[in-house]
Amino acid sequence: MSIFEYNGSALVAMVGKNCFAIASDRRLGVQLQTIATDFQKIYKIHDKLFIGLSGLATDAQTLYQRLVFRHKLYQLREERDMKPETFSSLVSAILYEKRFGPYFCQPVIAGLGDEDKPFICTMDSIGAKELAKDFVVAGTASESLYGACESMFKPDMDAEELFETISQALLSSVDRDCLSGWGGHVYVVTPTEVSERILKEFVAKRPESVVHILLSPTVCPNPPNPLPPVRSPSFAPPGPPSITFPCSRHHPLANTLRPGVTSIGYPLF
Amino acid sequence: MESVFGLVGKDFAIVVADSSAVHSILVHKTNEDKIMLLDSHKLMGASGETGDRAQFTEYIQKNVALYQFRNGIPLTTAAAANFTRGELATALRKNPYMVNIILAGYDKDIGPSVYFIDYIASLHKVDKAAFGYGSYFALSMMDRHYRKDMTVEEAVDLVDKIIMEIRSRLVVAPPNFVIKIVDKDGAREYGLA
Repeated sequence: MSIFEYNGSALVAMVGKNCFAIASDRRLGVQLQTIATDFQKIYKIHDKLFIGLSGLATDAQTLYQRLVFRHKLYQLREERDMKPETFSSLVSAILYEKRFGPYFCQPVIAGLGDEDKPFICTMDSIGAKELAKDFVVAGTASESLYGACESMFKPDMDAEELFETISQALLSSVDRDCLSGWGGHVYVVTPTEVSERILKEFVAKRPESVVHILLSPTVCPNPPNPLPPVRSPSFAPPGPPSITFPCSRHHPLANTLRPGVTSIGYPLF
Repeated sequence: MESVFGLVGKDFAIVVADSSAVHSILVHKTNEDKIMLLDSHKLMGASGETGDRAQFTEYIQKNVALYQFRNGIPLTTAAAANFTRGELATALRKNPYMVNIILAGYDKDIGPSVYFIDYIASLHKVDKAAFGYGSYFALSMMDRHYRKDMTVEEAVDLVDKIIMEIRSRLVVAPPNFVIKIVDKDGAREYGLA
């Protein structure tokens, strides 16, 4: 197993209209074993700048400590916060310093720059920057994340819609990756506020609308006559009433996200 | 392979380690103490390379004591955990210590806490942690039976269940375990006065 896949991680950042969102999964593992389901991978540098660090957890922690140190020094000298563009150049330089013995991390940087213009970027473990206008991804689930983001992303979403989109993209991607998941941690940042939300699997943010959509074992082309009731997953919390439908195609909310997509086993927002 | 595990209770923390010192097929010792008392209210259970384990835990213990001598107040558990992680991280790319650590402590205003520190210096504050082949059984048993705010009796009962599971299901099961507990009255071996 590659050193980048030792702990497992999934990170994504997206740009909206005068806002950005950055999200991560919550798993800390040691190869196949899960150690914790509340591990933080996104760190705040200042109110309008966040960095997510995927890859090896020990290097992520070391790198974060070094970056906070450098930023605090910068604040003392310049008497202001660092701009996201500047910070990403700093991260890139620090990573390239270790070119022949690198930190095994892939950072995702998201911030609001001059005039609160959202800025996101990612880089590889030796500091090759990739600026993007729409979204950036990193981690063991990055390939799934690319696909999910590419199809779900729209430009100029507002904060609420951005939160829904990034959450869906994150959850659906980590569900296909055994090394990341166990919920999500989403920060949505606008010029006036920072909201931090935790996504738990199988719990909707609006309890009345918890829906477990279960794929039936065989394709169901016709609306069902009374079929035997489908049991919801035993590990789903008992709380709010859940509505189950025998076939995901016939769920009323299916195909509303976008044509052909039905979510599996977690709430549609 | 050495088993160490620990968990947080209502106002105490428990660390358990097996007590066999093994080299290849030979059992050198069956009463090895792998849980070091860092100071009056901290325990460090360690597993891994025997020499590294003994040497590194003693190094941390002496540095924790030095801080108290120099500054007049003891380190908090979080500070001790971060110091340990720092030492492991610095050594990682030069001369790594192959030691996995479960650090448990009790702070007056914070209460009990347990920290998981990998041999490659990944640090995380947890409610329950385990290392070694025994971790496969310990973590599963704890996932099933652990609750927040367990009493000492309940926690020791869970520890007993875990030890029984390790003994019965692990082919190279260690025969003896050491249990140490830390609470507001200090760190001590469980079962001793």
